[in-house]
Amino acid sequence: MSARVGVRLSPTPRMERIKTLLRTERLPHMWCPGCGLGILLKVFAEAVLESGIDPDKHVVVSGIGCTGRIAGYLRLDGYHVLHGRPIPFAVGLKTSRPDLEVTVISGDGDLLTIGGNHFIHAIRRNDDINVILVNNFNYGMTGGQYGATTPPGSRTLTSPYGHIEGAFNVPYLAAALGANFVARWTVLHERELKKAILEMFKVDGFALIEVISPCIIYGDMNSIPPLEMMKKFKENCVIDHDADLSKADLDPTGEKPIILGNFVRRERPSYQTLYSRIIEKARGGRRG
Amino acid sequence: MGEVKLRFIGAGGHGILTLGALVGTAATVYAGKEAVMTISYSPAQRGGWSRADVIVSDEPIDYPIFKSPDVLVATTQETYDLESGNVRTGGIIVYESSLVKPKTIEGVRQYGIPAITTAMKAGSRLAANIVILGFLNKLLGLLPEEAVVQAIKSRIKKKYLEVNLKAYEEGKRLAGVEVNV
Amino acid sequence: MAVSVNGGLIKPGVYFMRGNEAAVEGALIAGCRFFAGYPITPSNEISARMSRRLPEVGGYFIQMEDEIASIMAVIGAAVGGVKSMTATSGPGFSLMQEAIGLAAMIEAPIVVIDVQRGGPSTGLPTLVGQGDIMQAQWGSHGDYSVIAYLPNSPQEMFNLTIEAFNSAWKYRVPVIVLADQTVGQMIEKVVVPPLEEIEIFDRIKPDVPPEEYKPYDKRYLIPPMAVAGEGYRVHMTGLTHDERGYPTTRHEVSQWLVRRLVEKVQANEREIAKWEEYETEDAKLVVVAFGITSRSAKRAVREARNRGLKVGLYRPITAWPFPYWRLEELVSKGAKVLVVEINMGQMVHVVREYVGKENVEHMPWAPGAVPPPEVILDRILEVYPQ
Repeated sequence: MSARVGVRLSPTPRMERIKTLLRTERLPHMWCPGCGLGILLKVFAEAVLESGIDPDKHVVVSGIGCTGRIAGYLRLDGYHVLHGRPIPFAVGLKTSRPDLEVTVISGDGDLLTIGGNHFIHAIRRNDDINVILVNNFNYGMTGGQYGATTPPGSRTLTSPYGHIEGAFNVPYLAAALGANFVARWTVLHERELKKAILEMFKVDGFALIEVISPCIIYGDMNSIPPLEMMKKFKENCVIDHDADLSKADLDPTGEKPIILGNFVRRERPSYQTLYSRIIEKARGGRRG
Repeated sequence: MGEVKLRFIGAGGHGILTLGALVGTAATVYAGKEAVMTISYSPAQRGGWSRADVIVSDEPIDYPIFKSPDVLVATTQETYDLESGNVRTGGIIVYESSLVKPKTIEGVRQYGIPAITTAMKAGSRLAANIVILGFLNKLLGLLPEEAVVQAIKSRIKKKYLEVNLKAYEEGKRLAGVEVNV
Repeated sequence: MAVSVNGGLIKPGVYFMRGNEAAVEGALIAGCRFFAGYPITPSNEISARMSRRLPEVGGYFIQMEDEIASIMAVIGAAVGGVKSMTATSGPGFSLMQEAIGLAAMIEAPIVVIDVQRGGPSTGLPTLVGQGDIMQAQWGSHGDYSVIAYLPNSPQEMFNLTIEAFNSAWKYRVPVIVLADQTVGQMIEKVVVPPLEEIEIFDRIKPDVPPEEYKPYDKRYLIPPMAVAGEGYRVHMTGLTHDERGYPTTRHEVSQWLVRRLVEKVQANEREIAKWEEYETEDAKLVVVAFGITSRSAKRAVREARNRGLKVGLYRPITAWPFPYWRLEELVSKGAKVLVVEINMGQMVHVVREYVGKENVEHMPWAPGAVPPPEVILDRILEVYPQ
């Protein structure tokens, strides 16, 4: 371990393997100390390596925000697009290139607030994409405004008197819309998260993992120091794959348990699978 | 031949657009002429009228839009009332005689034809537009016979073709017997 | 009503075809294999025909939840190397503007057909307008360039849609086919030439291995394009980026990038820009009109000639880049200019910039209809230099 600030990891074979999927020339990353996104980056890279799918065929699409920067650190084909719009971008790419394994990794504000319409319609259409939605309860990059997942009562930059809106219960929403795979883990549940990502790669149709990640901006405004937030995630979690999702709403500032698990696995055929049958039918066996 | 401006107007379901498209297809695809068609509708999405304006010419057509047609075909009273006043002096009106009570219009020749009953005799009332086509082409000599028949064959589904070709012949026959109003 | 084709690409021959449908057939010949769109009048014939025709040629159609999603899907397909397009009209085109900026920034080749209708706002959904001229080039924030074509017939809907795909992939820019309601929905003779006579431009692929490849290599004005899944592991971002595609806030890199985004089209304007002239050689008055308006103006110009007036027609076939040099030449020979357009004044600003305000008269027109030849003729008579 070096004497400098921060922790230098001695290169284990595992790290070396992960490094092949990182744009190391871009490191150190821009996330705050205490942020959970670095862990997700590592876990996702590992999952790609273990997926059995050629990394050349893995594509990551991100929107705008802290999480949106993930695409830029992965040495994969990666697209960092408009705020709120990674899902439709991914849908176009996956539909026209069925050979690719397309994963959207973006934040709650990007995917659920500005991008909420795309989120619900991609699930309804059952597009064959993977979505990792990182929920940190606020807009971290712009200083901590409230968004569609900010729990009621929270203090944020734009709710200094306490947040008076409701929050999306993400797994409940996705399950109700008919997603083929719905899971929720925190960045502290590395093994479970990786397994869920590997499972997600196998799903034909819309697959969602909500990843709960600590944000020091949000923590600061709600008087929860980073380590305490991590501890809360660790100690306050209940793993229940069969949970009643209507009760899976989150309140990181209170004492309510955080329900985690791989909640939904369905086999509804994706738009892309059904469309390949349309092509077959329309071509009537013709080529060229 | 200079530009001939034809306006087809009638209720939705009267095959107005098909009629226009058949004239245009016969002219461009099968007779080496130029043609252009613009379409408009009454404001109602269903149950209103549709209108097809077609210009046929030997020369490229500059401008596809016109106010006063040389030839008007109207298949309902409403559309007859709407458009009959716009026909240019010396022009022609053809109307469906079972649905339209004509007005006297100075300087315009009018022909009322029983397109619907004629089409029913040919096998389907839906072929009334083709009866009109036969009548009109015989009357005007606008397009070569073969071109119109080819156009019908290219645009009408096989199982309705026989009825429509019969309707076309019946329409031509009407041109010999109908009286100028 | 629609011309049926029976699978595969359309056969060479003569068709009596709607402008919007001709555009679809042109797109398919150009290699378009992905369409995403959202319903909007008067462009609906395009998505309807695409939904039937694309699977017949092995392509993909999807109707998205809005225009933003549609154009994002189109850009997504483009970075995968699949020729892709959308079609819309004014309100949808406005919604697409941010994404057009993204396509320009990451240099994704896309085609947008905008069948212009009367505006502003919901305006006149079923009636003609030409009010998107400025929006086509300046609709997104910041500096970038697009190419925009101005078809005036179903034949040009066919031809220029093919050209739009060629230009998009050659210059790696968003290309707009700025049609209008009348041209899009009118039906006219369309000649489809033998396929081997149609020039198709495909992507310029990288000629270096992945480890040497830079997505925005400084050696090129238009860099070769690696697409997803080829092993090049490209990174593209809407952030200002360096030649590796990595975000940067360095001033000199920003200047290099933005200048190149503009110069890609500017430096090639004489190759890209197109126009048509009629009776301009001795003209004392040159009418500038485009799209459907040019056809009414041509009739008016003929009529003016019949009356012995030296009037000509200059029809830009590209709005962006604007073919200014020939117009400058005509004005330098003493001609005055009259701009006729279905808006309250858009192309007139471009014309004034090149040939001087004092040489330009204008005929604004925005009732949701094409200005009739006799109205244009009246204006010609008013402004004809004595």
